[in-house]
Parts: sequence; C-alpha cells; structure tokens
Amino acid sequence: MVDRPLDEDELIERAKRGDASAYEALVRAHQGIAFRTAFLIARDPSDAEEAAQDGFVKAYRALGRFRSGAPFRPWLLQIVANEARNRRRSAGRRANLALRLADEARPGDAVPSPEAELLAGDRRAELLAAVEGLREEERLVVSCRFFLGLSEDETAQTLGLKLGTVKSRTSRALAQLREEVER
Amino acid sequence: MNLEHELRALPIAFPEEPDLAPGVLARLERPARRWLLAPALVAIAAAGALLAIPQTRAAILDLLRIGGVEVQRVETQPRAPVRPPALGREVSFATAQRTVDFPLLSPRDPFTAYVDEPMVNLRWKRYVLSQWHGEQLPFATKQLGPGSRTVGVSVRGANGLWITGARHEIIYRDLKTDQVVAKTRRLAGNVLIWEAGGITYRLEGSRTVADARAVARNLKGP
Repeated sequence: MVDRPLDEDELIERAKRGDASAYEALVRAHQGIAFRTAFLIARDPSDAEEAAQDGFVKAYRALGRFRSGAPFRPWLLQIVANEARNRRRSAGRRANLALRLADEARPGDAVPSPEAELLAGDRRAELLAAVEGLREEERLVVSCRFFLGLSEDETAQTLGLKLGTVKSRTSRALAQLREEVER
Repeated sequence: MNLEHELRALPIAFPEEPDLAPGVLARLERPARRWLLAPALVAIAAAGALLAIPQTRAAILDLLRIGGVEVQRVETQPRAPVRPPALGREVSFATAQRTVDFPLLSPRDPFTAYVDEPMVNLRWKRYVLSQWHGEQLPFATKQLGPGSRTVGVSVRGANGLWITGARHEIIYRDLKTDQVVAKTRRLAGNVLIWEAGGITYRLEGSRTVADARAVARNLKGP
C-alpha cells in the first residue's frame, strides 16, 4: 500500500470529535477480533454478533473517557467481553456451542501422509477437548492468549483481571492440559 | 512442538465473521454540527424526522416505481433536522400485528417490534425490516442523492430494488394530514425494497444484495 492509512491514534482522535467515518475504520479494523472474543464468551453466534455490535456502540459513547495514546484494542475488547458475559448470563442454561476444529487444511500446508494426518487430527481434537474441559476462568484465559493471540496484558484488560492472575491461570491451565494430553 | 505452540496452531472453526460496521454506524449519535459542513449529506442524518418538503426543492432526474414506493433520483437531497434514531414505539409483535391489516413478515431470530404508524419496524441483529400497506401511501417515495445506485432484483418472487451508495430517505404523503413526510430512521446505506400484494417491504442492514435477499427469503410469513 502506497498511501499510508491514518494511524489508529489519529482515527481515535477524529472519532472523539464525532467523525463517524473514522470510527467506521476502527470498527472494520477490530470487528473480527471483537466478534471472536464475544463468541468465545457467549458461545452463540447471534449473541456474539449483538454483543460485539453493542460493544462498539458503547465504546463510541465512552470514547471521551479513553486515554489518548493508550492501546485501543484491549480497551474495546473489555467492553465487548462485558456485553458477551451479560448475554451469556441472561441465556441461562441454554446449551453452549462447543468449539470445533476447522476441517480443511490451510492452503500452503505440506500434504502429510494419511497416517500422520490422522494422528495430528486426533491430537488436535484431544487438545481442544481438554481446553473445553478446563474451568471457565482458565478456559477464557487460554482462549484469549492462544486462540485470539492476545498478549498477557491484553488478556488481563479484556477479562478484567490482574496481570498476575492471568499468569497464574495460564500456567495452571497449561499444566492441566499437559497432564491430560501427554499421559 | 511445545504445548503453547500447539494451542496457537489449533484451527478453531469460528463462525463466519459478520460485518458489524453498518449496524454500529446506524446507532451512533452524530453531532449536529458535522452536518452543517456537509449539506449534501444532511438529509442522511435525519432520524425519525418529520418535515415538509417543498416540491420544487430538487429537480427530479428520473423516476422508478416499486409498489408503494416511488424512487426519485434528485440533484440534491432535502435538508432534514437531526434527531436521535427512532423506530417508533416498542410493542409486542401481537400488538404490532393489530395495527396493520395484513399479516406481517418476521425473522426467525429474536427481534424487537416497533410501531411508527403506518409502518411496523422489526429490529434484530443489524437488520431493520419495515412493512406498510403501500396503498395507504400512494405518494411513498424514496429520494436518492447523487452517488447512489439502484439495481432491480427479484425478492421472494416479487419485484424489488436494491439501493446502494449514498444514503437516502423515504418520502411520502401522509393521507390523513396531506403533509409530505420524510423519514430517515436509520443511517444504514444499503436497502432492499420490494412489494407484494400491495404491501411494501424495506429491509436495511445488509452489506450485500446476496445477504439481503437471503434474509428476505428466510422471513416467516405469507
């Protein structure tokens, strides 16, 4: 890309002044991660979509309180995560959608032998099942860190936790996962 | 491979990511002063606005007709006051159904019903479906500014129109008061309009015509 797009700080400053097209650019930049974050918490695509949309609207109204220069993504994700949690709570005991593995190989992947593929597939399924079996508080930390690719700091802010709590839950979860899949 | 790498490499099947921008933008409260800087766009900002439109304000460039809606392509859009978005009075679906003399279409997803007589508006996810008896509104028009595009499409076996590009508003003559009324309840850009059995339907919130037609096809009702 030759033209440098507006950087995020500039977009935020413009959005603070009521520039909806600047905010639209921020929405488009972050809607994927916002939706996936909401989905990991709410476990329902419709609830996740609503939570993410409501989160973006609330974030826009709260922009005045956003500290200039601070990272926008975790600040936004915290708002979205709260929306998703509220929906999950109101959904009560409705069955949660389990996470699934995508079945198609990604383009560019080397073609493994059928046996190796089968083994790798089993291993992945086993690992995902083990994550799903974690306690909610650990599952969310693991999901944010490894499925969404958030940093420890971002995970802490998104889930409203202290950094130390994220670290301890991550190591506890990893120890349990190791025990489950490597025995 | 260590466990952290394995976790990162798990190909999680997330549901298809929706386009949230149109729905979010439709719900933002925009400061009025912005629109003074962009007079051509002022009409777009109107939400739930009612105003009289002088007939001569804009030269009509061409005219299309879909059910109870006349679509006029105009040189400039009329100015409308800025109001917060409003879809009307929130009511139960049964109450909404009682305000009209035809069976309403409704989405399969949970929705909220609003009455803004003579229209019924249903809102769910990022969509709004408006329905009204076209014959009550022989002068229902929709004015399009420069930059908007229309495509004729078939929707649920009926004639429809897909309008994209610049935003627009619905303008019609209220038969009770004989006033010309302009309504732009929402700010979403793309709209699918179709007509069946004298009823006009207007669906907004889709980014693509394929999505709009799929949503229209999945509606429950007659």
